[in-house]
Amino acid sequence: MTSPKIEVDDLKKHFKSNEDLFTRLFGWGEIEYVKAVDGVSFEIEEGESFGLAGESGCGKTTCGKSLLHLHEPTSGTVSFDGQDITDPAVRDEMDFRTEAQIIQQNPYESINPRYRVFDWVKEPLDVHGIGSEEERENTVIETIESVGLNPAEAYMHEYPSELSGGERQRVSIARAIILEPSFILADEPASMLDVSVRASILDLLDRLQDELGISILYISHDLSLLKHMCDRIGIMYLGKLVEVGPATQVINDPQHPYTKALVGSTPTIDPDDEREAAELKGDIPDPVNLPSGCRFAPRCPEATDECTVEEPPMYDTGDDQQARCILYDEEQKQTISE
Amino acid sequence: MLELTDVHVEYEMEDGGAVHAVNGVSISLEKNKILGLIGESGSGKSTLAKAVIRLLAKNGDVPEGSIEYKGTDLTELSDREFRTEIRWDEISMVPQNAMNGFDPVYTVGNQIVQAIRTHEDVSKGEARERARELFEQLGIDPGRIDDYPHQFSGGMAQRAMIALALALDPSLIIADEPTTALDVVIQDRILQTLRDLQQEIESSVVLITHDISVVSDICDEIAVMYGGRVVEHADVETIIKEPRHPYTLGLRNAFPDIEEDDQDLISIPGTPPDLVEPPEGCGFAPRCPFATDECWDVTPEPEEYGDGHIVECHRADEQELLTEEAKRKETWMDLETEPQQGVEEADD
Repeated sequence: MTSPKIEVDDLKKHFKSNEDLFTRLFGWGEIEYVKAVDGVSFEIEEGESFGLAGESGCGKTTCGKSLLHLHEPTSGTVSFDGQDITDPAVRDEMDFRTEAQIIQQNPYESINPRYRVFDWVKEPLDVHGIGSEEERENTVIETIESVGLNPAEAYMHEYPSELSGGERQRVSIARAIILEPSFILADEPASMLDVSVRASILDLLDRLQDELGISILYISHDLSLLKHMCDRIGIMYLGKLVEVGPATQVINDPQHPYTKALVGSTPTIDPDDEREAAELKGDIPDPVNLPSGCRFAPRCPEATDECTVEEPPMYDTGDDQQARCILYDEEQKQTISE
Repeated sequence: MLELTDVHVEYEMEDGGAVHAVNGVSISLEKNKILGLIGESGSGKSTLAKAVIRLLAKNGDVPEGSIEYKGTDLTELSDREFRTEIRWDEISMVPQNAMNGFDPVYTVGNQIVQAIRTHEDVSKGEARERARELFEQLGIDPGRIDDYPHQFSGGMAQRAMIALALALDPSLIIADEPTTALDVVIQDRILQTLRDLQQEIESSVVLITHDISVVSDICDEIAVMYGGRVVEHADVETIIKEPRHPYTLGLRNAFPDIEEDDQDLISIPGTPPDLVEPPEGCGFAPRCPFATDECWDVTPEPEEYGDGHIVECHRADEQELLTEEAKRKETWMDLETEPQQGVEEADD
């Protein structure tokens, strides 16, 4: 079997939360850590689209950025095409910076307002010194047209302020694909856009993925969107994955109580639909002082005393679906490696 | 209770021109109902709401139309009368971003107390007691009344904002995207609380949002806005299940629904209309796959199709055909403007 495109193993990213001057100079007081990502493992196959979902603050964006090495992970490994990219020498050798790209959430802020579309899309080619000047220009025009900004002539001399939100996001996508990457991280790619153009951006990503065979990691809080776009999804809660599985299956038949609550709280279009959302107690706890045992236990409607004893591992719940919940312990003792 | 007749709102521009953000809206809202106002950004939904509570930006104005509230035309009141008699006493507002809604240098409780005492002759203690009660009703620990806004989480700040809006038992609450910045679990909780309290104090709510699934969850009626006009207005059931306007159909089919397994999402081509010089004819015609010559030339008048279902569309009587066609992605593709067709060619 070939190795997956991306293999994340026990990835952790902890941020220092209270490092003030005195602590730094004299080592006073104890340094506290925000455990934004606290041991996440998953795989993304070649050409697959994987979605990371969860509420704000659950660590999904930090996880994505650590994976791209935009944050230095605290521990854990990330393998890209079977090679450990936490090693900088490996990253250089495999041209990781051309292989992996990112599409940011907010197209109103992610494009430098002083760049014209043409220069913005061309910059990666200049930075990596790819092709001759003439080749670069042709590539830029082709890429701009391939993201639906057609004819390129009409758009390439514009500043981002002259474009609509949807057009800007297309420019961001053009810049992301111009180096022909094999992996893209799309962080809430459509959440800033109007509903009526959202689908066209999602379609574009879908089409590019098919044509170019890219693997995509989608990060979003919107389960309906992830269900629509992804092959598999993982649900994150307080820095850990609590459920992973095929997208449709996880959402239609959630196993973990947290996933059930998330799905139950998502509004549906049908006005007759009276879903009973599991009532979650309280708010997300402080990521500095995590609750002992299962981190979801304090809010979980199904929690027992046992839940606070030990952090549960991932259990197989059938059909390629896994949940980090003690409920599945009795049924099948098949524990997957932590 | 609230009746808008042919309301226009304009923003004056520096070069002397004007943006016609709202272009003749007539709509009424009964007591004890929740009306959802949906539309894309720039459709005029927030402007309309701000015109009602008279919080338009300095260059905004209501040159035409009447806003009748419990029989009084609000447009005829002076600013002073409006401030002392209507705003917050009768009509209050929950802004989109609660964090910006509170003044960061005063405690949350202090701001609620101040709002109560500005309008009513009560002691500080009484006002404080009422603020604590409101906190409790909205599920915030009353002990946090002396916290500053930055000590609240986003969800709590939004609930505190609702507490502030309810402080004087208003008959009408305008909620402008009250949950857009929040996570679904908290959104769900806030919407339910809003609905419960609305029924308890028998007030009406105008809920502004771009999220069609939020309105279908808690509203009684929905008005769809496009290009400064209400293009379709009916009860929730009708709008979701039997819409007649192509724009509503488009919005409905553009929205990913968590209940659906294999959805073909459509996207509406083109961009919203120019509001500086609104073109002749139906504002949606340039983006509408069903537009005929008539649509380009003549602005459709509102027409009623059974029990309060009002539609502004020349082809609204061809409901079955439109509904079927609007589901197909190709319907909306064929019409796509130049750039989009290019994509298709590149595809082949």
